[in-house]
Amino acid sequence: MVKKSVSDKQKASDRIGEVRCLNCFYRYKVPPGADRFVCPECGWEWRVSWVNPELAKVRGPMWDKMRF
Amino acid sequence: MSLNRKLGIVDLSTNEIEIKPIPIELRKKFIGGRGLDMYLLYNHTEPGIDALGPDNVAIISAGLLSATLSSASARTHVAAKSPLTGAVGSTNMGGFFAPEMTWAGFHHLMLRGQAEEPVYIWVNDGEIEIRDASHLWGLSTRDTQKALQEELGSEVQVLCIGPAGENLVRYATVMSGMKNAGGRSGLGAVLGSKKVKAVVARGTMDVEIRHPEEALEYDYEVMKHISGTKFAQIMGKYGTMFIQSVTNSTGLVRTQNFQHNQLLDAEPIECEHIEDYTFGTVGCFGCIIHCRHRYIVDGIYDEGPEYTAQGAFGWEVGCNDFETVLMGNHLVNHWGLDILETGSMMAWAMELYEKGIITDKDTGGLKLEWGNTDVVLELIRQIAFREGIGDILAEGPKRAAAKIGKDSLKYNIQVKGMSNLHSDERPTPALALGIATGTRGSDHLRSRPAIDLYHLPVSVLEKVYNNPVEYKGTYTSDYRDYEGKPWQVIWHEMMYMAIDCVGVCKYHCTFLSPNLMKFEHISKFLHYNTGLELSPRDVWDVAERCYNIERMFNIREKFGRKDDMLVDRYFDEPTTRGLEIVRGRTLDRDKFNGMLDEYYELHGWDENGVPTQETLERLGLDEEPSHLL
Repeated sequence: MVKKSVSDKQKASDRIGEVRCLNCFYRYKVPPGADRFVCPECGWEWRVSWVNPELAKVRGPMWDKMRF
Repeated sequence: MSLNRKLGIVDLSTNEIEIKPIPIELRKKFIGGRGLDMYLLYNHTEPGIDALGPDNVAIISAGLLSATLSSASARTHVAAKSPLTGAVGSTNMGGFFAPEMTWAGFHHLMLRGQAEEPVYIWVNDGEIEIRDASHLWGLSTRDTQKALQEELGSEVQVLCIGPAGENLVRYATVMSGMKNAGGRSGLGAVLGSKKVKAVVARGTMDVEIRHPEEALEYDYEVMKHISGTKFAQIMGKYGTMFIQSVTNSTGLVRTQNFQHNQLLDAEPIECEHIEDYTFGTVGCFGCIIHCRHRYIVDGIYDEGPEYTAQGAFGWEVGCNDFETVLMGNHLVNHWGLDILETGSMMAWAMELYEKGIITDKDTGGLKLEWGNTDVVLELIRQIAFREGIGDILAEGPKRAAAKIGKDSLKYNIQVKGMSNLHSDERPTPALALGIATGTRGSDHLRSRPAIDLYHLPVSVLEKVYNNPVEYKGTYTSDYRDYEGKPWQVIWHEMMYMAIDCVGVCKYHCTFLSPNLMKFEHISKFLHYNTGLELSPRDVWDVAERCYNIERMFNIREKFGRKDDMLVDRYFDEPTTRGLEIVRGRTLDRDKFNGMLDEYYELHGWDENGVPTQETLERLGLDEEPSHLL
């Protein structure tokens, strides 16, 4: 039997568009095509890019908020 | 078949050439590639030799799976005593050279002695010749390859050095193709010292596959799995530059040498910008990922850039400009410099300049200021050609610091005299231990447990790290913890050694994704392709043996516990930037030493990091050097 690939498993489990917040590691499903999201767990806002229509990645923080 | 590929020994002082079969007992103990290279290095050098003298050897090899039905079996390994560190020198590159050398009948080529005039080595269908290379001396890496392809045919594969190697820059690369760089350890300078401008391979000797149908089926299954992972899809689009999205966003890079751990407002050098310059991606022999872009900047064509280029010419030197990254990447490839060491040495010089330890008088008027693109590109040239301040920086961390004096060494981020990746490990003890203990010096490619950054559940960590050897301690998901990390470092040491022995790319194994190849995959690939029967545990044992012989080489060169240590800044200066989880962090010195103790104990080494007699006997290394080859 041929094993399911990771992408097959993701499709089966409806994890398309899911990214992890780099601050708290919460898994969040980014709406298709969205270019940013606010983590519902910790409130950090991230910019997003899409590797393909099904695969989102965190692109970077909102740099104007990355101040100390 | 793969097991009949030979060792060629070229004595450049006497022009003698010897060709030897590789005994099967050595294959079972060291497999090939990096592992067998280390056996040869330990057996064919004496302690204390000059790395740039005739007594050093340069060994060029393909892994045992090279040119077989095993995905991404493209890696070429080069070994020698390092002129940068004095420790074991080891470097590894992709491309097409290793398969071509395999088809030419050889898996290992050992160069010893020194030629009087420039030469290149021609390896072709079971024969080896030493040929005059005086017409090639002085050419860039790209022009050298072009000239040799015009001379010998477009199908030849060339491994060569550029001006930096000729000028004995202690971190000169060996290059093949446009961007395949054996960058670390300065082995381009070893070839330069031997007056070897290039090694050229062309072969038509087929590699017989032991179980061809099963090998093809298994390779298809593994490739399908790999290509379906998120990691492979992202790598195929952005290459290793995607890592910057995580590390700089979090605050895990070292910026302005080591003063900060994040480049602010870094949007201009994010990987997505490659889309404005690329006209497609390409891959190495047998690889489906295709992680490198072909790009044009200012009318110049090159490949890459990788994460290290973003670090070297971006956040390390304070340049927030993607074209500086692209151009810097081109120049180091063109002249044959290690991108990582070059960027680190420049950033170090800039901090020294900022602190007034060096001045305009030392730099010839060059303003070594952060973010100065023109200065960055000029410094690369000065290092490659050993001009001005570049002549000092070309010596690498320790020698350059000795020449500059004034406490300059304490600002250099190095281990064993080799600069660290442009990353900051203060918040990540596992990664810190890995770079501190790396055999070739500060090193992210010989042990880095990169998946520690993913906050994986303990159940996943147990599944990955309890195979094929069980660990009885506990794991933690938090990358800031110290617990369980020494074992993770050791597991990755073995994983990366095993993959380097067979000559497969690290991006196909459990390095940046927990879903990729592990020991059982290597075991099966060896069985189907070569008929060499090694269980996953046997593969681990080979890796452990090879890692220990690297350690023995270093012990013989007087390295020990004192050298498995990070510079004080890791312990004394807190991180300044990044997410709250990484901000304000230093490494705890006592806990770090505790990790080091545990690491040695798990390895079967004494408190000074020396393999015990019992360990050597267990691994069959107690009679080395054995001179079986």
